[in-house]
Amino acid sequence: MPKTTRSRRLAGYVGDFKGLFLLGFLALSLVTAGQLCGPLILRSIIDESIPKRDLAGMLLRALAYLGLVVGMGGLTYYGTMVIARLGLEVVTRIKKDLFSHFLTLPVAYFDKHPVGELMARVESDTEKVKELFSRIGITLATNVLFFGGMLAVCFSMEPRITAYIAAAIPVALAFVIFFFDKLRVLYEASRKRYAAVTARVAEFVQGSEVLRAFGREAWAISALDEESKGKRDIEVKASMIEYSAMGALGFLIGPCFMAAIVKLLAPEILAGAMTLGTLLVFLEYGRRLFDPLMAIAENVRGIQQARVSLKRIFDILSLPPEEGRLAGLGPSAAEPRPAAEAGGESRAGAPFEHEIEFRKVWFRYKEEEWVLKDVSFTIPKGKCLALVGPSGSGKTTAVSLLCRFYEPTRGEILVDGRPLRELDLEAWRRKIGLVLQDVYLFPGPVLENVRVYDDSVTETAVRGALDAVQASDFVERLPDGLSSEIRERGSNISSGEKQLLPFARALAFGPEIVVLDEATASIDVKTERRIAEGMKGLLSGRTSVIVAHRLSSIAGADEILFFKDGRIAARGRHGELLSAFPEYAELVRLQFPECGPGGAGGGRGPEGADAACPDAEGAGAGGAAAPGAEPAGARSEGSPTEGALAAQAPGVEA
Amino acid sequence: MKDMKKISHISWIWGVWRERKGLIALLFALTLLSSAVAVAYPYLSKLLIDMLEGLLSKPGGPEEAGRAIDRLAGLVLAVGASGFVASLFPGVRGAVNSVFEHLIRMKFFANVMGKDRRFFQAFRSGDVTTRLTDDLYDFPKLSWFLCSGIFRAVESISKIAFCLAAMLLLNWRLTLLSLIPLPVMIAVFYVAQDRIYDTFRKNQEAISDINSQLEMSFSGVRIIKAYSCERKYERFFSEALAKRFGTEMRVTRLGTLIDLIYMYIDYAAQIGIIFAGGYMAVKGDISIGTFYAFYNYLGMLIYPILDIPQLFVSGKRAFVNIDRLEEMRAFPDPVRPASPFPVARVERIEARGLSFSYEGREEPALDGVDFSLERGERLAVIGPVGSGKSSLVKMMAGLLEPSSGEILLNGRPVREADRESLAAALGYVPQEALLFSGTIRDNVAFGAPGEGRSIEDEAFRAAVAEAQLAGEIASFSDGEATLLGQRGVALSGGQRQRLAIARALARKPSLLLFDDITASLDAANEERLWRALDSRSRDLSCVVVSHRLSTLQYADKVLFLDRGRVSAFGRHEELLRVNAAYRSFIEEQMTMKA
Repeated sequence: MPKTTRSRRLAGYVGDFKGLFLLGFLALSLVTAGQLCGPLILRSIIDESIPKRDLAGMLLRALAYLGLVVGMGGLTYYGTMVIARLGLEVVTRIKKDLFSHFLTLPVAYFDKHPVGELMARVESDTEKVKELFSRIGITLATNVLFFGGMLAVCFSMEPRITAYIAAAIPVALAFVIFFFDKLRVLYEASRKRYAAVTARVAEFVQGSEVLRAFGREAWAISALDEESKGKRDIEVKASMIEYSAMGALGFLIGPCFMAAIVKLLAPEILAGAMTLGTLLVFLEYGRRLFDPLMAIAENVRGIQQARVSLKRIFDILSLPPEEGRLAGLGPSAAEPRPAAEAGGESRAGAPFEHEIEFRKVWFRYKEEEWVLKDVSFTIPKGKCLALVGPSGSGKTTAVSLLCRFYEPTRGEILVDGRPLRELDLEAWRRKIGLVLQDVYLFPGPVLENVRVYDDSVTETAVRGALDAVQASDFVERLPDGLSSEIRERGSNISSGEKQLLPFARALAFGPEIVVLDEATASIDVKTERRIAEGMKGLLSGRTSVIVAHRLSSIAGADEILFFKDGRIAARGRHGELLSAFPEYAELVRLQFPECGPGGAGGGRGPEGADAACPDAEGAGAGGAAAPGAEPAGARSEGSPTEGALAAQAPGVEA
Repeated sequence: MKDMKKISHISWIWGVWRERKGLIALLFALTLLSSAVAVAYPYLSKLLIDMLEGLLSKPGGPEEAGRAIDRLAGLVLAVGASGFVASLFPGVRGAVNSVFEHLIRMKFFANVMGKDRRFFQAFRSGDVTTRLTDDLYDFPKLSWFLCSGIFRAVESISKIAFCLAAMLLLNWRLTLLSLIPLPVMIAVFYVAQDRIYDTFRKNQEAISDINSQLEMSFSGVRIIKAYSCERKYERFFSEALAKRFGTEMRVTRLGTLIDLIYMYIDYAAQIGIIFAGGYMAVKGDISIGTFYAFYNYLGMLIYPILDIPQLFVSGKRAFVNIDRLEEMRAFPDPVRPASPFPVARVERIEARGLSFSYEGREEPALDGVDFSLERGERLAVIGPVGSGKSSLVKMMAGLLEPSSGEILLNGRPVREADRESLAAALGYVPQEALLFSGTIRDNVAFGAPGEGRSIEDEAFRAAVAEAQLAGEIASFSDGEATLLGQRGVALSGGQRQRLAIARALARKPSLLLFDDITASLDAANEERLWRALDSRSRDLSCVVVSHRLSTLQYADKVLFLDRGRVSAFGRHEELLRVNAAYRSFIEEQMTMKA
């Protein structure tokens, strides 16, 4: 984005507060004028009152000084507050807009940017912009004014000497700024070293067991010593350089300035061309010459930082939102937007009566790396589709496309013959109950975790959903029931319970389609059983698409798509595929090892394998295979028993 | 931690100082110099003004005046030059902070490295890291306090002393008069500052509210989008922002007020001097030079006074940091065997009545476990989650000590083994692959015999090939020099684990301990790994925890644990035949997942 647009955009944010800005600036200018006046009052006391022994005049001037200080104090407070408020208002608006805009961005954006980075955009970058309006802005403005005023007053009193000083200022300023830049590099390096030291300590402490098991404690100590020493050395260097330079500058500005005054002004005073009071004004100003200079130099960098932050913020705000999000959540979405909401409803949402069709769908995340290649399939309403295949074969991508997290690169997805991209995005997503592979829980109450802070989903609906997935008994056992807080990553509930909550979440929104990306993690049998029960509640009577990692899921599916390298290599029911596609059978053996060991262990235990099967039948018919209960019952010949048996076949042969 | 010694903080600090006596002496010298220089400037102004006044009232020859002026200018430059040296004082302080930080960190890190499991169970790893990094680093933490914190206060005190001395020397009556308003101003300052703490805390809370909301919205963005809850979410964020606006304003208001008091305290002091000093100057009791010197001195006096209490505030925090370090040190060190026996290789390992309970848990993790393993044998350990498998492996690695019973290694208790030689004989693959930053090769070298810094090419290639990692390493653009971790490549969980296996194999151990390899190797890779190990010497003993029943085919013996007890031990086929519990477990494993 060009720079002018950026400043215009910022001006847009500041515009509403123009009055505040002017008032604050005026107040601070007056304060600066007051600061300049202080030494002048002192001068008149020294030049007028003391020589004339004029006590009344002296007291009057002292009172004037008092009044000046009080007035300056009040104005400083007022000006600072006004400008700070301005900064806060602007930044709060920017934050709100940024956050709203983030939520409209496509999922692909979040794939590319780590959460920490996004948080930094909303928090740190905006705070840096705020600094521009508060601390940096105020410091810079007042110091520049003060410095300029100081020179002006000096010039009016003593043009020749002031000219010398004025000429030296740019040189000094350039030196300071150059120097701070050098130092910044060093401090940056020291911060990096600190991060490295912290990372080292953390990994060694976390890995203490491995260090012990390998007897590598001394190795760790010397590795840390090296890192920590590096940090120390950089810091020692930075610190010494910084203060010797500042000392040198201070020497030039302080003692040299004073010596020059002594040499140049003293003869003039003796000649009667200048008063003692004027000398004092020079000494006073000289005493304060150094500070504004440093303040200006220090804050120049702050401006640079704020500019970089501002650029990043506006770059994000100009990113286009997800396609198909017509209403958008644009910059002022905090206020209700009746038009948009009504618009969404009038499009009649996203009707789905018959079927979803993937028609010759191609997709890639990156150039030249096709993840899906010419994928076509149909999901009839009310049926259960299972996707299987090695990891990276495109299963998860296919369901992401179904949720419209991404758009197909080529080809189309049709819903009842209408292109998915023409349907209202939000209405379509509302129809889908999504359960991701990784359980995602918000740090917050169970209730909000289930309804994702959407209060249009009632508490009763939430309870119903928990009940249906067999999670209500564990929720009741929590100290505060529905309002119990779930800690980060669900660390205060068991892993089985953790997996049930997303099921309830999907159910609470009354989805028509359930999209389930099953977890791969190996879990114990008891948990497995609970999850199977929960799934039964979730899937019954709904259209479902499952990225399957459990044998029960593939066994119960109406159709299985076998993905390989982004293509559908085979499709059909479990039994058919097993007998027709050795590759599928091999995959089943590897990916569902629970039916493998008997087979793989060939010579080891025919008894074991035999014993396993009858039970498999029982379990299959009774519980786990229940999803899509009617179809499973209707075709008992494709039962899981056969699957389990057949799955062992290749192993036995091998 | 009842035997934790109460160490006086002062003597603790003294102990650190003593290790860098020269630096401490330098700091004291610089303190005095910088105070002297600071006090000298106003005095020079006084000399200048008084000299000019004197010359004006009774003019001497122009030569005499010129000499006086030159003398003074020279004096100013001389003081300025010492001022340059004194201005290095903060720089030296900063440098010494870093020196102390490094010193303390290494001392306590080395101590932590000598601790055992109990320590790491009692202290969370993040906590230990914080104590060794953040607790020490920068303002206003421990190392800052040890030098800057203390020496700033020392400087303040010496400045006040020098200032007061100079003022009393110039005019004791004006000195006493000008000190009267000081206590009031200081009191006002502290009352205001006291209040900011609470306001600040509230604002901090509002900030973390916003941060946690941001975190959860961004990491859960798919969920928010899938359920179309964006707008509801926004409302939530706006509420948090509004709250933050309020707290920020309060902080700003109070902060501005305090800054104001701080800034204007200087002026207030000067007003006092203008009234009192001006009165005395008009009366002719003091010279203009003295008047001006006082005007400066009072400003110089106030800030050090305000700064001194800072010593106690940061001191309190630093003492907490000291206690936190000492708490770690006081944690009992593991008992070292009196006369450790060396382990050249593992010939036989045997458990006798092995029991173990984790602190604070009622049910024992292991309860009377017996088994034995001869050289070259492979033992598979199976059982439900929580049956004590990992604990058992850790005990064999000498990482856990049994509550009762013991593990005999070559016929002698493991705990009496020489740790170094034991570690050299073992190849331990933990359940969670823990790698260290550095390259892939560095991580394999970590396991290699010797110092752990390097590994020969051939040994490296063999280890990664056996761990079934060679192909993947070759596919990385940097190959074996690929960096791991934040700035490097993100290995998958399976790859990390196989790297951990390569690391263990690089040891050339005589006993391999695999704590669950199910997740890292699929059935095909597992097969290849075992075949590769077959072609090594058959002297290598292995203990492997697995959740995959196919592992059983590679094992000579099976140890079936259930709730910490040995439910079955022997050959798989035989157990299947004779042991009902074993049979039903195997059956359940096979059926439930189907």
